[in-house]
Amino acid sequence: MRLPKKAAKVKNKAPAQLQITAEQLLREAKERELEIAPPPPKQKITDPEELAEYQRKRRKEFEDNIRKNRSQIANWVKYAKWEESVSEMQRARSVFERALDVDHRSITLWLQYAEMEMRNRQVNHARNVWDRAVTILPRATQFWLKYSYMEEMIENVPGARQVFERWMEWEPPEQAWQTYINFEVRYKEIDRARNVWQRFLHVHGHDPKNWLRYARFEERNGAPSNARAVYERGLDYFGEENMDERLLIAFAQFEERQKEHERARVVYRYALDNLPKERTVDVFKFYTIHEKKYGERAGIETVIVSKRRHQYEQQIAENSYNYDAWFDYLRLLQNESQERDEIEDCFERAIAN
Amino acid sequence: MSEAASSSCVSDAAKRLEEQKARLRSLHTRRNESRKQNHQEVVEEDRRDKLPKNYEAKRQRQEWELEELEKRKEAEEKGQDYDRLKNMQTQADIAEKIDGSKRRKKNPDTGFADYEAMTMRQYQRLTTSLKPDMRNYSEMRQVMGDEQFYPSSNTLIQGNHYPTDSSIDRLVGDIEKQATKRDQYHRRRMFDPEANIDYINERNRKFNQKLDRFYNQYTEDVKQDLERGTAV
Repeated sequence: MRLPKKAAKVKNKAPAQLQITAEQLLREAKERELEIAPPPPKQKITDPEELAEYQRKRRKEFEDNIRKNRSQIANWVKYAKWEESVSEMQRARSVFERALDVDHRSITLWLQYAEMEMRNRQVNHARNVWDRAVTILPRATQFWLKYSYMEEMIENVPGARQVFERWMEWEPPEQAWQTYINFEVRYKEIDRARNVWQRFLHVHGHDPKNWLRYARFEERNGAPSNARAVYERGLDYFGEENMDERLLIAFAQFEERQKEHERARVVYRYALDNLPKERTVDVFKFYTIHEKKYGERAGIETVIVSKRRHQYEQQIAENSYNYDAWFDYLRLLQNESQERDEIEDCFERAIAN
Repeated sequence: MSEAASSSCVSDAAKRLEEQKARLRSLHTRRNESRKQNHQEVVEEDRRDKLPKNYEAKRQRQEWELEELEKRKEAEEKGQDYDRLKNMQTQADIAEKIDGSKRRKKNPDTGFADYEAMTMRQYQRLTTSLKPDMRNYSEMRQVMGDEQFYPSSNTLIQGNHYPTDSSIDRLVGDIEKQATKRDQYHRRRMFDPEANIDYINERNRKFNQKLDRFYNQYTEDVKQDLERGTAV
């Protein structure tokens, strides 16, 4: 007998009359439901032996799943949650400990473990778990937050304080410090909050925004002299080279709020004198607003004049052949009747080009 | 004489009877009127009770909004800036209050960023609604003394505090509240019997959903072409 060739040649290459679509194939495959097993018959558990049998079966399933895939945290968590639901706390703890042996860096595991202890009113167990979590993974903010929140819920405020202190030793980012400060403010401990702010600025003082926030805090808590001291220390900290215009503008606006307009003017002038040209735009804007609100006509005029002078200087610095800029500049100087020497100097410079 | 008197008596009696009847009739009609009016009032009151509680307030607000819309349209036609007009007509302190309430954080949900950020957001929500018990706090401070009450990270305060039952209850209640809020973040989708079947299996369906989530934005054109049968 002739065996059929491996790839029999196709004789009729025309398409068939009735075609089947891929969608139809998929639909038929799905409707066949080959893999769906019928559910096992429902059993009522009547005595302790049957209960033990049922639990043994469930445990076997969970352990099988773990054996199939040890690193999938969900398997461990479902197992532990089930043990918790049948009130087998010791078994649940042991499941979590085994899971931590597998992967101690998993944040969900620690969180679920601690939450289980807290849910079952096991406060000291929960503290133990949190302490371990925080020691092993100190850069995970969730642990610190939930630990301090737990201590606060239990009304153990010194405990919560110590958690925050331990956290701050790691010099975490700004938001973490802010939560500590808000915590102290919540209990109306403004002095301690001040302390925390100062430590915060030791760590994160390179960003002028933090100085502004501290000064705002002092102002809002009714200590404007402290706020002034903060601004001045900030200016010292940054020094001449690294001066930041935001700090100066905020300082001037603070003085405005304190109704110290002369001081505000001094700050603005200092800013204009010491900052490089590119960064003075905002300073000018706020200075003009301040003068319009509180200044005399002469003050306003000097400000506006100096602003426009700066503008022209800039334009001239860019392009010394910018005749329009030169002419406008000279006309401005003449209109404002500046010193003769200055006008002459300006003319000289224009001609020199 | 007596006949005339008696006939006048009779006619008087008849007249009196008529008058009394008329009075009785009028009383009757008045009683019926009052009954009708009472009934109408009862129906009205019943209707008013059945209205939703904020009906009055809602209707007033709707009317006010309608007026605002009309005024805005008028201002548009005349070419004026309606907001500016409005600002000029509000009192200064009220305007400041409105500004202040707007500046206060609204905290909209910006969607999932990463787990740490979401935990921080939850923490802030929980702590802003926390109201500390200041009396207990000051009492505890008196009892514990400042050394223990303001610990540094090195002071030994472990084991000095065991919480009361009520505070543990509070903790447990809070944990359960967090769990219920967590459930709100993922809702069950309805079963769509008319959806296309491109899977053979539940697992396959989930995987196809995942693929769609990532690739649909790039393959829309191709899919439409295939559906149509020809390229555009």
